[in-house]
Amino acid sequence: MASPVSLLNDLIKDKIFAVQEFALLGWQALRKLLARPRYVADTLEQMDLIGVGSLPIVVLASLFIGAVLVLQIADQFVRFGSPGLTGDVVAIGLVTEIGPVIIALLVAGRVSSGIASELGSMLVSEQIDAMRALGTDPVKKLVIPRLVATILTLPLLTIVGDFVGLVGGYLVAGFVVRLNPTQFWTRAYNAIEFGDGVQGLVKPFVFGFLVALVGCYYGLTTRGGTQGVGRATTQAVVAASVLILLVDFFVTKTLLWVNEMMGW
Amino acid sequence: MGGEEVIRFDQVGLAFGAHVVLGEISFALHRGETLVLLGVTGTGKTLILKLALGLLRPDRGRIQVLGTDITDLEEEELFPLREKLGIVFQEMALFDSLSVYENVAYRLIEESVHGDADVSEEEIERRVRECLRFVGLEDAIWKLPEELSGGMKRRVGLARALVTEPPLLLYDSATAGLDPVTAQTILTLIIRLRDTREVSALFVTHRLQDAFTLAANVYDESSSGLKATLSDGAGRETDTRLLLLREGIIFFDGSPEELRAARDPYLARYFA
Ligand SMILES: Nc1ncnc2c1ncn2[C@@H]1O[C@H](COP(=O)(O)OP(=O)(O)OP(=O)(O)O)[C@@H](O)[C@H]1O
Ligand SMILES: [Mg+2]
Repeated sequence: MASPVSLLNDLIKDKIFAVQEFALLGWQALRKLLARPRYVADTLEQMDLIGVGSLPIVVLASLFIGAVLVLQIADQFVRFGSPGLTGDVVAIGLVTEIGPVIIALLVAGRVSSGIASELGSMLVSEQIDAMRALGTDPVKKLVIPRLVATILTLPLLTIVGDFVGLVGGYLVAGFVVRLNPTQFWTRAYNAIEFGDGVQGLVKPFVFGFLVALVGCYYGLTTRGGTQGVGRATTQAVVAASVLILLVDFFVTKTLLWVNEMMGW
Repeated sequence: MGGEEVIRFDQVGLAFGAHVVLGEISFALHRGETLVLLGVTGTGKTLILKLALGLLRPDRGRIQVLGTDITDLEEEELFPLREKLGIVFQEMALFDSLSVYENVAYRLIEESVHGDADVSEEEIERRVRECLRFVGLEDAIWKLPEELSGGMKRRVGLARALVTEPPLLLYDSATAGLDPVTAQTILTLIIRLRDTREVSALFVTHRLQDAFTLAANVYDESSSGLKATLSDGAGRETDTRLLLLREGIIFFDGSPEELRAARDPYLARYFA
């Protein structure tokens, strides 16, 4: 019977090993990013699957997020007697924080799980071995196209989502809470400063990297057959979501600091 | 025989935890030769093929493939070497979201992506069709693997390995689960490659009759079929040796005649 201390020891060792492997995969992917052969067709296919495929859910979710934000915030500001500020707060909140994070979480639910299950199934059915045996580098053929596709499409999805969110807010401002919708729109538009835009665009790049890499990592380290694929899929979504929230804090802190230094 | 060595294992050992699968394996495969690897299930035949491809690393010993010591090579340095090897996996390992055509064409398409071979699409299709015709599957070219029977998948796996005509082939149970006619066709193909193109092969099988067919026949150009060596006036030997794996070591290494002459009880039981 193993003692609790040695079990804990094993657990910690496992986790440290996993972090090491994860970092190694990320490093390999970055190092081989521009190396030949480049799988352009695979990358475009992934951009279609990941970007275009996620568009409906991102649009729908953003519309309601913008709407509910205006609902809540207008309620508070009407009480304080300054409903005009609703536009400022909703816009800044949406563009810097809520948009990037929620859209990344939605995409993680679709994409990290999809990548993990696809690569996991390929691994357990020896297709990855077959690929290696046929002279193809799985990092170049499978990991990099997914990584590049997610990194490129997540910022675009976020821009679309932010805009649709503001439209949702505008509709609620006009038809539900009876603010002045034109005022809401101009205030929202003017509230967003350069620094906010930087935050809103840097974050999805970082999150895109995490979403794809976590999916690839769990897929390529799948153990234990079909059940293992299921486990890898769930773990990928959980890990990606938690990482997004953790990393968001540090990225925000850093960008706010940069913002101050640069006087944006 | 006595040509250059294409595969050489030097005291190779491999264990999973406390389970020692390969104790000390040493053998050599020469150019143009066929080695038939026999052994009861779970003795590590598949692992030997994976080691030869560098898909796994040995715990001990050294492995040379086509004159290169691959034991310490990085994964990236192995890719150019693997392009010269064809492998038929025991579980087929076809790409299940690609059609039969794309599976067989995989290497040719990869080569055009790499940019070091400019093969036109028509040329790729011609070669894929030729290969599939050879294994009797031209009609299935646009099917997905899930639409194929087990034996058909195995033949697709064979076509995928052969399409680039590699000089070294690794077959893992290439004739398992096939009807006698198809199995014979495949053996004829392997013998033809051995006798006309000097293709070297490591042939894993459970079927003893495969070993004896490989060892006792040569390819006959005039009839495009097999001819028993005994009827060959020159008494020509086939370049085929048998290896029997037992409990992590090579228990027997020699020609079928030497095998028949051996008086070991284990061999007698295995080959009974
Ligand atoms: N990834 C692995 N982890 C642990 N043990 C393994 C692993 N792969 C293979 N083994 C063990 O190694 C031994 C040899 O496996 P291998 O697949 O080479 O057998 P084989 O000779 O090809 O058998 P068969 O004739 O049934 O195909 C088996 O006992 C198996 O349990
Ligand atoms: Mg096997």
